[in-house]
Amino acid sequence: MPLLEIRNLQIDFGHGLKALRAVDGVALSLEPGKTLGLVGESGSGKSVTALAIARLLACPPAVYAGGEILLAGRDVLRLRAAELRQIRGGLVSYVFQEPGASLNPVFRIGGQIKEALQLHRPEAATDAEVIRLLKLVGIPAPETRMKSYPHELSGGMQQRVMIAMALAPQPKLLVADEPTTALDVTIQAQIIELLAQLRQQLGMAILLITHNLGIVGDIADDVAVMYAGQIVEQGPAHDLLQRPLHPYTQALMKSVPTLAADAERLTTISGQVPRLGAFPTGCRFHPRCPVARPECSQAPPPLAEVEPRRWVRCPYWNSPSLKA
Amino acid sequence: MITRLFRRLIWSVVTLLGTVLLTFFLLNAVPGDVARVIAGSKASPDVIKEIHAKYHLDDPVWQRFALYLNQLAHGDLGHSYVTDQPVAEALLTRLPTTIALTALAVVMWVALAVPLGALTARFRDSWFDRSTLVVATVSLSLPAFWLARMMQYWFAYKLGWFPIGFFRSFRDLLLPAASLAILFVGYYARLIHTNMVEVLDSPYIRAARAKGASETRVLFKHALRNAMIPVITILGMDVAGLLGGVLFVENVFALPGIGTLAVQSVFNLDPPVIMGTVLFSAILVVGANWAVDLLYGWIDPRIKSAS
Amino acid sequence: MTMSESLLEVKALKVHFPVNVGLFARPTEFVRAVDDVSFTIAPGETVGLVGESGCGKTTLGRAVIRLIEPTGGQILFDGMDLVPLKGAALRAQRRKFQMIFQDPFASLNPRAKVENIIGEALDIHRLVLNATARRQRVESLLQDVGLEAAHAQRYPHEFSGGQRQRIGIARALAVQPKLIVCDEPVSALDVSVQAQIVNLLRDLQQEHGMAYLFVAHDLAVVRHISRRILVMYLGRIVESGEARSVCQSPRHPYTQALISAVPVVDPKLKRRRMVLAGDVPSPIHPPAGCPFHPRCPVAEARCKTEVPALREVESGHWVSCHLAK
Ligand SMILES: Nc1ncnc2c1ncn2[C@@H]1O[C@H](COP(=O)(O)OP(=O)(O)OP(=O)(O)O)[C@@H](O)[C@H]1O
Ligand code: SF4
Ligand code: SF4
Ligand SMILES: [Mg+2]
Repeated sequence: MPLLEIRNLQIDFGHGLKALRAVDGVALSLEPGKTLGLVGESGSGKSVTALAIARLLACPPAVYAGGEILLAGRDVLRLRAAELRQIRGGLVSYVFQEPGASLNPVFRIGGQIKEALQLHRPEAATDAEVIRLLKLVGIPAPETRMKSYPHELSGGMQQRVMIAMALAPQPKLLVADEPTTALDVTIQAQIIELLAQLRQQLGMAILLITHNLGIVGDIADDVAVMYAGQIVEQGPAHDLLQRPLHPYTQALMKSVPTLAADAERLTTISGQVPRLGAFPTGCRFHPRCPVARPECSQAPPPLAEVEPRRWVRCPYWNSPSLKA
Repeated sequence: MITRLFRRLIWSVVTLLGTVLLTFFLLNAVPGDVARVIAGSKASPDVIKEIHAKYHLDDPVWQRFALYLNQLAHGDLGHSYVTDQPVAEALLTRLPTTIALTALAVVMWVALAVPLGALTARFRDSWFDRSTLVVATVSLSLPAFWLARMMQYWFAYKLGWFPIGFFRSFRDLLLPAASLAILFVGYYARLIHTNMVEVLDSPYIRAARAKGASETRVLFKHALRNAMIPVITILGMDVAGLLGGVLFVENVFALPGIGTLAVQSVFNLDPPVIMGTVLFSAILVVGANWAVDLLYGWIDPRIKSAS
Repeated sequence: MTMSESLLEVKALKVHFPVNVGLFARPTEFVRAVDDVSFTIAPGETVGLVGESGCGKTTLGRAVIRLIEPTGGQILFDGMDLVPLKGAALRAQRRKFQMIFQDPFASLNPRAKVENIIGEALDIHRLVLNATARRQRVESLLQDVGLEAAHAQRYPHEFSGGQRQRIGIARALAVQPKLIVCDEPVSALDVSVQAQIVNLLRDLQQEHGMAYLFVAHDLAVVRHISRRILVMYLGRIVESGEARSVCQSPRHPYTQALISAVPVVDPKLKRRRMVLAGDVPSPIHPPAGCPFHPRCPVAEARCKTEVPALREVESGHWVSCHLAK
């Protein structure tokens, strides 16, 4: 049984006629101990999907309009408040983009980690356990560091504290929403390395959200690419990154800067991500797609399994112009 | 940290000295002969002369100021020209009433405003939030003296729950304190509400929920302390500025506090007592500032390491 | 390079910030944010400046255009030393250099229309004669940066991050500067938008011929726009040279670590990561000897005591490491 199975998830912002669909029919599945990378540009609905897993979206304005989120077999969208609190932190933990803003500025970091323990593993809510966790995420001198306030730590250290706090209740799933975007490249590499190592050590599953395809390659088993609220391509990371099939994935990949000798002009995707409520008809990518055809603006293409375990939302994925 | 305390200390001394200086010279500029006040209008010129000599009334003003400062430095606030009671004694006997009244009022309004502000922020735009807003707005526009009089009329005179005047026990302070507190509750509830709304939208609140913290815990443990940070400064200023309101309420309820003393001394044109009450309120302002500083350092750890 | 060839020549620039300032006492300690930095920028050239946060990149970028007071050294701009300039003399030079900021959200006044955000610089330097000319200039600038003339009437919050950065670029372009300091202009943006902005900056340079000092922490981004690259660590330049040479054959262990940290998409190209331990040390008490030694994977005994000099290991390629050949 998968640890996490999202089926046909629909999330709106606003009600009735004013409702704007931010997540439209997303389906994901994650086995215990595996890592899934969720990639896409800003505003594609990655964070909304991620927050929905523990029902963390503020309602209103968000509305869970349809679908199921099965976490260890139970539908999160149907849980009562008390059950939800057990799941949050206990079964699924979060690490967010801005570590500085995600730690409460007025409490010592040791206390914040201990709180996570008190909520889910009260028997382990001790200084010793806090120190062990801080050591686990590679914080030097944890005995003194646990008395620090968040602002006394660097961004990289703050993110390590966030990870320690997320790991404290021994969750089965870690959702990391752009955990490295706010950090320097060197620190980025440290944090990704840390996540990879912890996954091995603790056997938890990771949902890693990022806009940089270069980062998922380091750690993910599978990759799902999101565009305008939908998944447009999904498949095993190794295969997908070597042979992206969807025009959007291909374009996204080319826009990652490299150090290659011939690195000159970057390839870009023309135009911008469509705004919520202004998604184009037919294929939502067609105004920016370099190989769009007239038919593309007509019927919305389905997400189809075009090869074993390779899902693509583009009927023309196999056309010669795309293989060039 | 040390430098900051030092700066603060210098600032406090300057404030106190400035207040004393200003009041002293203003009082000096008031027309009328103090000796006449002391001895009565029918006193003979000899008596007046004697009084002038006793109180150095004919010395140049700066000399008398130096004399007063010297006196102050020895902890002597002088004697009332009217009753001959030492000013320090007059202040001290009335201090407990004023302090108790002020403290009670502050406790009342904070104790009411915090839950109101927090809960209205949590249940934003509910009927509870909206009706609180209306009540708060109304309470903001109530004139202080009218409110005190009305409360006295209804609760003390008509319903007989409290004594109308004269101070006998702590219970007698409830009504005056409440009439002061009501003036601030609405304002503080809105203030806390606004800060709270902002704090509740911050990433660390989302992170607290993601940990599995209950809504009560999120609200009162994670959000409240952060939301109170900007409130503390304003609270300090309001407590310092509360003396005006205290003066009023004490007089309405005939409480033997510093406020009644201040009013009496002005009516009597009794300079040493006026100086004493002014000095007292200046100390209150400075003290409130110190308290805010200390509270700030405790509530917001980022302050200590800054500077 | 002779003086007439360079637009900007920075010589032994120092920026030290006092910490622990007493009330009366003299400052006892300094953050050596920029310590003895020298480099040149030719007209129309892009020089990239990379390093981790806290290494002094932003301070250097700002000091160069006198937004921060330098503690020592010289900044020759068109042959004129900017360091001693004050008041009106400095303001007169200001239009020759502009800055683009990292945070496109914070660097634009939320209550000003785009027209006025861009037009303000035109007014300050009296570059337009009347309202019509101003409007036309603003509209043409917006088109230059890939926005529409109609956007002039909107407010910053109506734009996406990438569009706001374009507005920031238009504002910098308005006074036709000779040098633009770009301080992490794409770090807050998605990779796809990053690519658009980097390309835009290149196109604008070709058209208008200004020079860039391009500051970033991601070497790959810098690689795509710079002719030469400076690598900074704890307030000092540790390696500099032609972009190609620095990226293809980095000599300093720190540069090598920066390069190995660059995310790579293609799994076939996956190299062994050289992940640096720890953070950048405090610039108040930088380590003795080579400042990089506590994190350096190949440090030797002498690295703890001897400060390595910046040496030219190859024509135009400078490195400060005892082991660099
Ligand atoms: N509280 C909200 N009210 C209205 N719209 C919202 C809200 N939160 C998110 N949205 C919208 O939902 C869409 C998806 O947002 P989401 O944050 O999931 O994107 P994302 O892929 O995570 O982007 P980023 O890379 O910027 O984090 C966006 O159009 C966003 O504007
Ligand atoms: S369906 Fe058409 S527009 Fe959409 S990705 Fe495929 S080719 Fe491009
Ligand atoms: S001088 Fe020594 S410590 Fe410094 S970079 Fe070179 S090898 Fe490493
Ligand atoms: Mg997001």
